[in-house]
Amino acid sequence: MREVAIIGVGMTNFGKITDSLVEMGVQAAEKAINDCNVEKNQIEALFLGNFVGEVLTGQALLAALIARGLGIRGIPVTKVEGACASGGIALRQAILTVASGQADVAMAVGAEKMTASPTEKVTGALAGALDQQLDGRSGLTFPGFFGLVAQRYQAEFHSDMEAVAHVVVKSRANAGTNPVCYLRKQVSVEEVRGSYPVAEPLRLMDCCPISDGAAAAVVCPVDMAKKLSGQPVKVLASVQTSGAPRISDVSSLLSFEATTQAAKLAYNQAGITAKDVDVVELHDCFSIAEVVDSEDLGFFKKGEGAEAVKAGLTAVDGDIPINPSGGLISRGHPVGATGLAQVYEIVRQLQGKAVNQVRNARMGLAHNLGGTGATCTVTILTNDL
Amino acid sequence: MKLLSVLQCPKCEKLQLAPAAVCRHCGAGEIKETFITGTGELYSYTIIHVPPEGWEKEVPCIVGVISLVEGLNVTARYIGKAKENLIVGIQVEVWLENNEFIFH
Repeated sequence: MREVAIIGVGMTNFGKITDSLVEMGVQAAEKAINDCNVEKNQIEALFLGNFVGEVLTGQALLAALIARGLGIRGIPVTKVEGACASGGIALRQAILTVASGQADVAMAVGAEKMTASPTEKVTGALAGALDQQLDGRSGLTFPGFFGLVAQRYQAEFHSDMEAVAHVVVKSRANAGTNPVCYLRKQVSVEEVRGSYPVAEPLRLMDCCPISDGAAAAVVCPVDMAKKLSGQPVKVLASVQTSGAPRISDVSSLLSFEATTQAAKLAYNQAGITAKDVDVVELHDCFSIAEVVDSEDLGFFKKGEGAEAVKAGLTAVDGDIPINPSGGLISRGHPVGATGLAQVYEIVRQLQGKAVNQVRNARMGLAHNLGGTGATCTVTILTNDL
Repeated sequence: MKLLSVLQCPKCEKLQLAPAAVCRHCGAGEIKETFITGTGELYSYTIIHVPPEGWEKEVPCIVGVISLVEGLNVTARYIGKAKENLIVGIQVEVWLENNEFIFH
């Protein structure tokens, strides 16, 4: 297998966007192509991450529409779906295509259009990632699933939602300076706890907002990367795992085995440990998710993640900066686009061009999680080629 | 005492919920029906205020995960009247009603 580099990234702003799903995908892809020295006729494969596009907009065949919208013809185009990890999976497919020699230049796009649909319809569409033969029948929602995680976390670790709310406060502090983010107004712990109850103990501000947006990346072999990009970033590990798609498949909701397994494999593949990571973008679809993920990825011991955020350890200037972009909670979570927006941020951090730049960032990790921890990707990148 | 129909793998012996054609944990076939009590401890719960489409009249509703004594977690909806008494760790009963797991 060949070593692979990311040579171009691009994204639209996230939020309420009037453009169509296909238009957003095309815009993000154009930006990623213009971010490197690649002509469109050099792109040999395109993978699209999308989750609820067909359910919410009625539009299928999205990969073909986006490729043709870019003026790219004839190449294999493939949509992948792994709920909220669809974008991370699309990137991994592009990396594998290049690593295997099937293509020299491939791209991954993630796109989602959600805000034009009523909240109940979006909530129902997202609940499609619960096992509808069982868990979905109880009226459970995705905020509800993470509400279950949060309630148990509090009971088991004698933690409280005030500590967890610091995730949101930190997220908005980072988003305040990042124009791609949807929610940029600063908030206090009291405002988070005083916001509308969505799935108790989770409040509205504990939840990522329903959003529109797209993001994209172009990849090629490392030995071509310096010709095609001024600042390529090398892929040290690209791992995908699967976990429990049904709540009754697991005995604990305090750890996602798909994440712990992906992290272990990725650290092994990259030849590093969690301590070597300088900057992280992880899947904070809810405040409690950031806490659990940060523990699962090995940055903190079980039960210590919430206090770590409160103590400032995950701030941009902290010991292990987590979600310097603002994360899903503030950037927004156009589901299929998220995995690629995370990689956009890590690439910019490693190029020294991020808006909330982590000092001397050399090694970055992106973690994308789908469903009830049913799908997961972990990508480790370095600027040391 | 109400009995709950579940499935058990003859090879790894893990309990699981239907539907399952083969064992969801080890992949072995010939999974068998077995009956357990439906008694367990409230592992966690959430009070849902924002419903999915079709559930607008049901909210707020409480969904819990019950850790059954036999060692299986079940997602179920609370139909009791004393929601203020719900605390993680209390003993509850789960049963199947109209193809839906209920607890109180």
